[in-house]
Amino acid sequence: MNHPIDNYLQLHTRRQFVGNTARGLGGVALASMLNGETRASAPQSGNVGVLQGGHFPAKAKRVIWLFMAGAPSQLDTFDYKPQMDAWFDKDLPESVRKGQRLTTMTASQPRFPIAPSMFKFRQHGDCGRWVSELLPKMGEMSDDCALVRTVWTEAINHDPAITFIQTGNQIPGRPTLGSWVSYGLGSLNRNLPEFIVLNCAPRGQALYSRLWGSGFLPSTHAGVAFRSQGDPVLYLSNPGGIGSKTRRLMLDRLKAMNEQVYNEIGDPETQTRIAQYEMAFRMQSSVPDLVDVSNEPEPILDMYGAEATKPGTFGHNCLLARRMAERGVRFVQIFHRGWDHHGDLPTNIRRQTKEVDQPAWALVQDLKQRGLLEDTLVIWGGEFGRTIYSQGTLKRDNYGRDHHPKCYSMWMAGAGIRGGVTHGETDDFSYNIVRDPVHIRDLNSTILHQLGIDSQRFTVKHRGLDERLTGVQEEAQIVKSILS
Amino acid sequence: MLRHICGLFLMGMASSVFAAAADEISFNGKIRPLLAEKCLACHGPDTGSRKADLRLDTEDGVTARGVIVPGEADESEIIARILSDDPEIVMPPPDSNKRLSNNDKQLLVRWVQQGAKYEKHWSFITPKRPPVPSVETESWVRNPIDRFVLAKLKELGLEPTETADRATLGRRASLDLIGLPPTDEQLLAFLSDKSDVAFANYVEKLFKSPHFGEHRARYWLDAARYGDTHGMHVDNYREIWPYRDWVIQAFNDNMPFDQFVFEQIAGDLMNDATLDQRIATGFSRCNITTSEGGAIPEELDVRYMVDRVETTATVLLGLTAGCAVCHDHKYDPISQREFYELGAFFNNTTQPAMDGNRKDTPPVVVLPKEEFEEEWHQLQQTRGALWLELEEWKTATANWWTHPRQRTVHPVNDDKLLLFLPMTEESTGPALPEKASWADKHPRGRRGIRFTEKSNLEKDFLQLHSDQPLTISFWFRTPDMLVGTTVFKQTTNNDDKKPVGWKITTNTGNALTFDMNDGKGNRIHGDLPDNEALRPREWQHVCVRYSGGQSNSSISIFNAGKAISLRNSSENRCEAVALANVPLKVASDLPTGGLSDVRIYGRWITDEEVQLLSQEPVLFELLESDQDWDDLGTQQQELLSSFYRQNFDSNYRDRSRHYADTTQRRDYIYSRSTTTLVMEERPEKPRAWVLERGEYTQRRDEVAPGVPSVLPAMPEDAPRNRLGLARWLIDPQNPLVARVMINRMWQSIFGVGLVKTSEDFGTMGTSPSHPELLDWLAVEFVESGWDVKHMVKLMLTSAAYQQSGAVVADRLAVDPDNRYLSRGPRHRLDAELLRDQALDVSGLLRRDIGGPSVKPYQPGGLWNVVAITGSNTRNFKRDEGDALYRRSLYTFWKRTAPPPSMAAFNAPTREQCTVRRERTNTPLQALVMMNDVQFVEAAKALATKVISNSRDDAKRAESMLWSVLRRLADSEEINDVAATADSFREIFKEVPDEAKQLLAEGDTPAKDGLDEIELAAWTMVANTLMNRDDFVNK
Repeated sequence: MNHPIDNYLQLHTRRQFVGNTARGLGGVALASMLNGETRASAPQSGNVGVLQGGHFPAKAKRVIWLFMAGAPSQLDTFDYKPQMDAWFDKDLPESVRKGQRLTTMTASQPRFPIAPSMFKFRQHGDCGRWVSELLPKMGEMSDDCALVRTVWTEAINHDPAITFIQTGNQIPGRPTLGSWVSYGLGSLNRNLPEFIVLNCAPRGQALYSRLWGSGFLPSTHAGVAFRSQGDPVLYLSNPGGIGSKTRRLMLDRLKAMNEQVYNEIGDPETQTRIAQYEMAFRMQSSVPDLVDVSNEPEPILDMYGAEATKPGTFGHNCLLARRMAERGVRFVQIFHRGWDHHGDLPTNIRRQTKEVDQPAWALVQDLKQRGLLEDTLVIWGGEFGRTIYSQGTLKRDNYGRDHHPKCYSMWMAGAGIRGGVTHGETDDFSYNIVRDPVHIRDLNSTILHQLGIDSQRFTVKHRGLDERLTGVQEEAQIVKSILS
Repeated sequence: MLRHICGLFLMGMASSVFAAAADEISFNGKIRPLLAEKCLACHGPDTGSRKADLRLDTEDGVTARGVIVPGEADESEIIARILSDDPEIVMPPPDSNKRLSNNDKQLLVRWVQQGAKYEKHWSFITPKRPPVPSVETESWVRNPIDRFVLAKLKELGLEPTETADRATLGRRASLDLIGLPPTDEQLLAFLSDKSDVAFANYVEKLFKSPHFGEHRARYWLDAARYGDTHGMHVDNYREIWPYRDWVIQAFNDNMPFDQFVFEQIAGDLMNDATLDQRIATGFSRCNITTSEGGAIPEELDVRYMVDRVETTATVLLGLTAGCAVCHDHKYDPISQREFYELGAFFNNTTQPAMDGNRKDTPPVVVLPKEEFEEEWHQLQQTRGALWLELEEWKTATANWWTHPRQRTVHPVNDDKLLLFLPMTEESTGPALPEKASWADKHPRGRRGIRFTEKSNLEKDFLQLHSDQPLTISFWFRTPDMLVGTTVFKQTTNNDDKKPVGWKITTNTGNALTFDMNDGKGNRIHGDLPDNEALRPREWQHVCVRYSGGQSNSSISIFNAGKAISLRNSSENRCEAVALANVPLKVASDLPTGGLSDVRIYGRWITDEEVQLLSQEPVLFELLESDQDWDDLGTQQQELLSSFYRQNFDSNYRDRSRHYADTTQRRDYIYSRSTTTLVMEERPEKPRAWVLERGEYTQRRDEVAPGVPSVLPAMPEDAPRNRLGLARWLIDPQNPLVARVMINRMWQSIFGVGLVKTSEDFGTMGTSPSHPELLDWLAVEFVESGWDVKHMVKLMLTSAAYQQSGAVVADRLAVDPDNRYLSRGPRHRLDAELLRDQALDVSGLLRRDIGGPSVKPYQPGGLWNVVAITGSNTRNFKRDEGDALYRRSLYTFWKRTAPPPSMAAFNAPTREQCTVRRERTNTPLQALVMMNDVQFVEAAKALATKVISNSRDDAKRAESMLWSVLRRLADSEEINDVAATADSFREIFKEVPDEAKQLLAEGDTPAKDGLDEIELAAWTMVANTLMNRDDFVNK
């Protein structure tokens, strides 16, 4: 009994073999027969995922997730609670909190005074959605986006929570959503990775390389973190003094030598290696081409905001995400940091929203005008929400908010998402969910659904369990109301 | 062709464990895997998800209920079910997404027909040494391994491949034994040794190399999840490299493997445990930990326990115990209860849940520098004895209470009280300073001073020294606003414009900091963590205590009498200096905050004294009491006793002062020592709770330590703690440990384990390719006295190992992964070997063993982009000089951003245990080998060596080929390489600037006097050769 991942790896590491030599063909065919699997045809190029195209027709070909790391306050952005004004500095009723677990940061606070959002909300679009003044552009595109106000999670601290939403488990070691998608669906291109991560400038809470790791899936499905300083892809550039002519000569000589080795040893991995060096060479031009925005017309750059040409900014990363979508990158995740506002929330969130509002809008509009939005799923949100009560000093115009896992807001656009829909309702305090909860499992399941994948059937055998992104045993619901 | 397929299908069937006759269906070989895959999720060991109360993996109940009628497939319901077309009846049910193939159905039918014989899962049966098969081709056989291998090859219709050529074999064996290619001398000696025992001699020498231990340790460190940072959230540095060095030393000493396991699991509990035995327990301290602000300690304790069980089970038992955290195991007979029984062994440690983001989260052992070693041990003894003496001190306090009572002004003796500022209305202290007001509420029932603005209150007093103790005790009213404050400050800038002096400040979150600058650029400090900050807007007692040990660890901070574990992530040190001779500023920036009863002592006061100071209001109230002694509560009596001892029992006070006086040296030496994390048991009996769905809040039954019932029981007399667990693990009756270990040893040498899923020997794992060989090796391992070197030698000196790695086409078809050893082992080298090899062939490698981890080249920004502000591994600062060229197992392992060039080659993150690495083949790897400065610098160094030795292109080519490939090249290859050099030369001649640029790569400068074009051209040749498939492969 062969491990399914091994079968899969075998298929992939030996794929270069197919068609190259007669004996190779026999080898692969026989190997797959022996493993009890029959495949209509081994892939010739690119990388076909293990699901061979998915369980059902997909609405989304690709995903761009704008991840707000540190957890934005839903109360100051999308979950409008005008009733709270009258509650300023009053205690959060125990009947609302119901003894819920708090972080040890505020658990010892003598009281939990309510901090109404100091920001004005305004209605937008045909749908009339209330959106905070902090996000005018996101408000403007309300009819493009479905808002879910009732996402909830179980974790209450950053490390476990962000690990949970990314991998379906609070404990490190599981594959991330992007790597599941890469594993399941494979790539849409031959020159770029399937799963790319774009990190914005370091600020506030930590990230971890496991957040784009492949866990127990083959590591070729791990996200490739593009960098904003130095090479976009690690080790991409030739060392100083090696021009493309020198590199080409080196590769030609290397290829000749490796073919010689192959003739002597006959290991198909050698052939794969030869091909991978050629792929590396192609990446040396395809990646710089991808990240070079100098040919973007001015109006487009303007759309993405003042920082569109500045590497490491959210604006620049949104622009890159669009360029990646055009080039067939399956899954892009942008991590924007600095949303952990325990104190001085108004100042901090102004800076944060200013950075993300326009570029996120630009990304959606730009995809739309290129006809890409219809099969690109765009997601905005963080790892949990924040409390209605203030952490530390409370003033009308200054307050902080602690972590809150029981409800928060996210939006999605494109790829079969019904724009203008608002899903779910929280109580007056945005503390508990009143209607239509969406566990992060449901969220992930819905994302997979749009990609043509049934999360319940997308399993991988690992250490004796049928592992899924949404947990071995847990049920996950599709959020149907936001789908068109 | 067909014959081969059948052969494979019959894999494993000749084994005793795996059934006997060729056409009899083996339960372990065929039926159990089939049931596991298709049926056991609902009809398996997990009681929670079991349907129809039917369990198919054991014989019990199946026959009684007529589900299976042995020998009568027609009568058996199971057969009727699997063959049914009716969706209501058919098994597995359609909605399970599981289907039986025709072949599966036939197998089940035949098995029932043959009598439905059940067997215990093979790996749970203690191995017995099987007979060695007899083979036809005796001449091929070099040791018993070969008989098993050859028998299997014959069974599959395969032949072994011819022996590898000497040079290939020499390189392969060296890489497998020491993780480095052979030296010129070693290899030449081997090539010229024409005797029969040439290979044995060659191998023998390699076993003596101290690099043997390094290479073996590297595999073990993956399993132990060794890393140099905590792994979660702040991911600060943690110091545990002495454990890594212990592992290296153990392999070099050829420590019997049972001892190796025993000491790591329970070294601390052994009689008269040595320092090394305690260091060994670092195995259970390598797990990732956190100190994240809001984390809940009980939850973390459960996480750590689960990780330790999973690691121990995976590494030593080859069991996926983690499946039983939330419910009974679906496939293997490990119940949820049994999981927590295993957990109980590890659930009794003194380790705090929050790691404090410090390098030395207790318990640790201290490894002082040699110069301090004796003094340190002396100190430990003195302090230990004094501590005991003070703990057991009895004073007859009741007498003092009944007689007219002596009183004091202060709660503790005023010896070395340098400054006392009562700052209360009642006191004779200073009149109300400017910009201040009397505070209304105060714990002493009187009024302290609140400052309305920045104060200009100053006090002159004695000069302080950084190597002398200092205690500051005060009542503190945190300000109304969340603002940073300066509470005390005696700091100035010296002539060098560097700060010198000390101060106490708070940040906007009320976390308090004490710091001291020595005027030489060194700053030591103690900081309250944010989640242990002072309570907002409240009066509270604070005590800062500094032993004079000139280090962060010399500082303690108490809030309300409770010692707070500080956020000191690194061990800063300062020099012994006289501190600033300027007035002490009091409350210089403390608007809306308040102070009273400020006492500054020129000594290190004891914890008991801190208690008295913090309880001053209660104490002085109590002293007024006219109650009888016996009517006082225990706490009151204790408080009064301690007041009496400290003030009126001069013997006690002397002893206590003596203890305090030793602290300065303790802290001084500690901060200049290496520490390493170890295990330490609490005095209580170990226990754990079954947790509903694995949730820490959902405690069910309490359980005592125990082992899974499917495995042999613990010896009756074995203690129910880690000591007993260790004994049980290494008991020869344990069916798993020796098999699992020998399998991983095999995997490290042959590329694939005999059990391919080396992490899973359970039902869902793969069956062994050579079951009898596995058992033979396991028994041999135990009977040899768990002799690792002996076993490695057996594997290396087998004919199977010495085969050529060349692939014969029709064999590849039957044996694609070389699981049957139809050729010699040849596969891509692991990340560490690739780098070490490049450093070695270029002559850059530094071969010293052990010590703190090093930070060689890595691209900029990788730590910064993930790290949180304040993490001490946020800014990567690479080392210089020799540290760039150490072996890769010494590379600093930051677990949230592991070394990138190694991660590209499937090195794990070390966040959890890994016993099997993937071996992928990707373009990102090509980029590393071509472009990473470490490899480019190695190419330059090799080119420098080669062109310095000869001016002739052919000679240079020959020499470079020899260095890189460790074999003699033929003339065609030599000419090719020479021609390649010439082509590069032509390019660089046109662009000499590029040659210059290339030679500027890496810290090692290009050697003077060498022609730059030449060196650049040959650097490119070296770069080409170091990307060859036969360099990247073993």
